[in-house]
Amino acid sequence: MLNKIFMKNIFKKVTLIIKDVLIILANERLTFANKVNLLFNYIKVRILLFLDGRIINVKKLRFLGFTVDIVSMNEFFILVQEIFIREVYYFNFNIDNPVIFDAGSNIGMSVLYFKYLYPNSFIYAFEPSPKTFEILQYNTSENNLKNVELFNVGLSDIKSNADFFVKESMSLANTLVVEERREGEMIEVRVDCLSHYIESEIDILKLDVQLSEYKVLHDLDISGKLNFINTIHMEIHYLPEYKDNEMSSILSILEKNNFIYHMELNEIKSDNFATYTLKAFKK
Amino acid sequence: MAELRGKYLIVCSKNNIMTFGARVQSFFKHFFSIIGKRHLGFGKRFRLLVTFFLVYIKRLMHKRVVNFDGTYVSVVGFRVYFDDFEDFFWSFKDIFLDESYYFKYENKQPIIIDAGANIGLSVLYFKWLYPEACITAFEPHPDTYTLLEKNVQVNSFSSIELHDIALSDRRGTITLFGKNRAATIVEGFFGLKGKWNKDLVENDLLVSTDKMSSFVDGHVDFLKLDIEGAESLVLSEMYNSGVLTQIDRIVMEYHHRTPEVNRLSGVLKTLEDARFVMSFSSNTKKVNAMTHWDFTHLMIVCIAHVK
Repeated sequence: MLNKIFMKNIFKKVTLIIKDVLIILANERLTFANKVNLLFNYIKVRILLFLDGRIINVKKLRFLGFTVDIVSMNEFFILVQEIFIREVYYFNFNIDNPVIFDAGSNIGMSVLYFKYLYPNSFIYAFEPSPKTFEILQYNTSENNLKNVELFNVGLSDIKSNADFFVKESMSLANTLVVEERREGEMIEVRVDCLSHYIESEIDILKLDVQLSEYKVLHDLDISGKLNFINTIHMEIHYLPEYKDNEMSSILSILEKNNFIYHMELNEIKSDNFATYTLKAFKK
Repeated sequence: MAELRGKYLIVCSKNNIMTFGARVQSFFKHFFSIIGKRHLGFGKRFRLLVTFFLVYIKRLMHKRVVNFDGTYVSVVGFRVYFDDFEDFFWSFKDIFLDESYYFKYENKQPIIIDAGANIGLSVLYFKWLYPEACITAFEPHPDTYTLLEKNVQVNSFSSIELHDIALSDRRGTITLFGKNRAATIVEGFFGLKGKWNKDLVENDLLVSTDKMSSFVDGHVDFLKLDIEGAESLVLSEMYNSGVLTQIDRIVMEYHHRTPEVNRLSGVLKTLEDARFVMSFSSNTKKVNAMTHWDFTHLMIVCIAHVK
């Protein structure tokens, strides 16, 4: 019985690895050398993920030429898969130095990815949790990233202090919203409106704020700052019971401000909690 | 730009876009997906596999050796008459291979409403899953309706009700644009009228419309909605007349980038107000590979919320 489950798990893992490898090989945008490099790094991360907790404890590693400090290997692997392998934040720009607002940076993997794509970009990154912010700071300074500005604030529709829920095992799911995760430690963080930071044109707004999407967009809408934004790349978290973040109200803001959008299902969990990837362009 | 959009929406032209490699890939993808359909059981899977081979071979020969337009194909033991083979093929792929409309029901006699039945492949599929299902099907285009009627009669199905009307928010008559799978009551659905494929525009005709609420009395287990751009009209009428709460589960094809009346936020608002739990899947390419004009369809699966 135990053996059967074990074999099933191994089979599942092998198919997942093959899938990821195929995604890397099928990427038309990368040159052959880049593919080999990414593949090599992916395998390295996979091996470290296997060894972590068994033989060694990984705290820091090299990935694609960057030195990365991490919270846990599991989270790091999820981020690598999402950002570097599946390239959910990829955007084809003709400009060499886009201005990027990265809301919800976590440990800064998205910042590294944007710098990997556009080395001359200007990045403004927001992260509320003090613990992950420290790592974010370390990751940007250690790799000598220029033109990156970091803010230790959460994003909402008011300027104040707010309760923030930190989960020990999963820093990717930290949230300002009580309804999402009832478990976890509660700390107080500073929150602010994103509109206070926007003064000129923005090329990409990356929004990954667990369940505060509507609040952030609503604030941008009423302050008129949405006009400064060219493209939005956001993750929509859909929780049917939570009425303050309804899908229809998020989409109606985008429609009202003349955005064309696409969306796609990311993953769906058993309790109907789902995440969607949405990309929006100015018409 | 409107031309580009039109090109994507004409289902037949998809065929020309596909390369040989992509075809081989899709053949194997479907082959393995049929084998993996555990919910169907062995017999059904075998029948589907046989049908799949048959349809694929016919598709290879179509217009090269024989013209299959206007003939029939045996699908999982049922006989299906059709007008246009390519159209039939894409319906078959959506309904039988991708199983967009699959739902599991304990009660073996579900009540189903099939809005936009086309030639009746979806009716067939529901009858195949649940032979005792009660189905009400709607199809506005007269030519397609004739085929639908024929398909239902030939296979001697019982407890099926057919209506040759278009669904809308009022009773009356309305112009129907286009034909086959793309027939719609929404003006400007394919870009500006006139820029759309010429002979489709010449085929505009007058059909009668009715409200959905005049056909629903009591509980409905499953609503299939594939009405080419009129989703918002029909859903809001259903919500206002209180019919929407009678429905357990909706699988709808939402059509993006249609005129103003049919905005996604409006459709979702109606569904949220009716306390549905939703999930979407876009049946086009990955978001990453998308250009501005790719995103046209969105499958929305709604399940009634436990109150």
